[in-house]
Amino acid sequence: MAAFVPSSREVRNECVQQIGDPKAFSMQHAHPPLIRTPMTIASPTFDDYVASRGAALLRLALMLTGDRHLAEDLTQDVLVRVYGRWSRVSGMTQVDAYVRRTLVNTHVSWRRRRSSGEVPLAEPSDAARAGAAGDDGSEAAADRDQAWRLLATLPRRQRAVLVLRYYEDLSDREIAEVLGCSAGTVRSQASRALATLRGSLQDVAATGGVRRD
Amino acid sequence: MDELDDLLRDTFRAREDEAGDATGLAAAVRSGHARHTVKRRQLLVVGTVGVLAAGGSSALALARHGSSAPNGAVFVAARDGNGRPSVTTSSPGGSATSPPSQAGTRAWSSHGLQVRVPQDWKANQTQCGTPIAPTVLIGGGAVPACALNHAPAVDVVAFGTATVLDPDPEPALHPTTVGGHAAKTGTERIPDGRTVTLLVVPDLDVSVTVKSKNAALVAGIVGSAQIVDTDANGCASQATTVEPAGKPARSGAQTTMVPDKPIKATVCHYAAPYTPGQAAFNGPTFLTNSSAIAPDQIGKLTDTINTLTPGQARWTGLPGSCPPAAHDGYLFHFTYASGPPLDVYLHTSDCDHIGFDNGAITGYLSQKFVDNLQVFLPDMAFQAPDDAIK
Repeated sequence: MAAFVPSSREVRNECVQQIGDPKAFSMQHAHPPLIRTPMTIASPTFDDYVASRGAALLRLALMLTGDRHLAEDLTQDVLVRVYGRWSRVSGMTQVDAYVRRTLVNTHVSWRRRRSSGEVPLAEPSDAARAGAAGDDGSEAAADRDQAWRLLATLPRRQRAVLVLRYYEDLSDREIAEVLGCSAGTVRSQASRALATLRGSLQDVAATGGVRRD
Repeated sequence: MDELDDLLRDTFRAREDEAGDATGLAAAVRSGHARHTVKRRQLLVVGTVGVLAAGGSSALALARHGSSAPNGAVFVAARDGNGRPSVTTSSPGGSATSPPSQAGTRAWSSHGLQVRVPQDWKANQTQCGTPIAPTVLIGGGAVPACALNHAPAVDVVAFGTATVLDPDPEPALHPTTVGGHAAKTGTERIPDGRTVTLLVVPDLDVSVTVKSKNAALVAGIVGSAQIVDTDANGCASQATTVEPAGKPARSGAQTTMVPDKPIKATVCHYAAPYTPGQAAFNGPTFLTNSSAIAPDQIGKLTDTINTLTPGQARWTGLPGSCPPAAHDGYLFHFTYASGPPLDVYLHTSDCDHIGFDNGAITGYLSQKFVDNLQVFLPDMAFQAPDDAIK
């Protein structure tokens, strides 16, 4: 049987070369949350990195996905890719910034084969459950649970903007760098997301806690 | 400060504790990586015939599963004086040049390392990354980070790289050869009663792990190992790059991506991962796996490819987010009842050209194609940017 042998046209590798270029990851932040806990190990092993930053990655992924299992899936998916090029990644000046940016972009931009397209239903938090039983913080906890549910209805990019702004405390310019878009786009995405949330929260308040869809 | 701002901050902080801990995360990543990624190694020219293991028990084991190798032969690969591949067999009674009977088994290969496996085993029969039926783990993507309460002790053949190995712990390895390539192999029994044999071929950066409670079956599968230049579907085990060399020879392909009615379609998946210390790829790309498109789905595939939006996408995110996968790609090989065959290339994770290309015309990835991945790219990893799909 004749083999199907791919041919040998030269391909361009600009992006490949930039991957390993520390200059490509030289984001400078006045208060850089994505690198606020930088690696202190000169050349961390992969295990060192995961041990020190794995939990933070899972938390960020949880905020992006709204679901623990999806967050674990996303984090592992990103780390699998990072692991394959670890000797290069570990030489970067801002390892964590790179990994977290990859995580955000993977969630926002990439179609993954295993994606089910399901929107997970958020379970009430422990605080909300405690509040429902009469705790002093019941109203605030209920508001947070409502907000969490509504966040799940936003497009991924809009949610990512809110996560980066309110969880990671990034400026619009920094968010733009992470997502690869303009600061104006970030502002418009945030504005739309906040408008959606405000409208939905008002709907919920007007209907006594039952959201109209 | 807006109340909604505060509410969102509080909402995110209140949920922090729901994220899982990172215990076992690194190990899970390694397991996923073993099935997801391959590393490139230079292929050494093979000039001699190598024998992996004693043939008698191996052939016996396969025969018990419905196949046999005549005369207790062990199948090994060699090359003739011109460097072309040829298949020979080596047996206690001498060598033969004709292929042995392989009824009841199916050949699976990755990076050119081939083993024969019982015919009825399917690829990637897993749940949460855990095999749940006799299976061949090959070519799959990321493994979901979930867990089964009880991992069934099923029969498994798992392809991986030479550096990220399954099982854990790995058995003590001793030197051997496969088709003239230096290799390492080792066997041990694990607590669930299965025998595990690991075979590693470092210069092809490939390994295969075989697990079964039937030790003879394990020996038979490992004993069938050989190095092949072309896999069972006709795909070359290595490629320089995965792009068309020029205009297609087939008439009609200048205006239609896949003209006429092909009678056979095969897809070959190549991956050229990062090599430490090297900024760009300049060596061979290995065949991860391949598959024949089901005959009744060929028309659907060609219809889908022929209705693509002309053009190709570029990576629009930051360069740092673009994966180093310039040599990754899929090759669709179409065969016709008459006339020359046609090759169509697909890149999904490249930085500067994402989509289809037959050498004359190009097409964007389409939603229809993505919706039919299990048919068009069976058992193959796939990732593509959302904005590359039109």
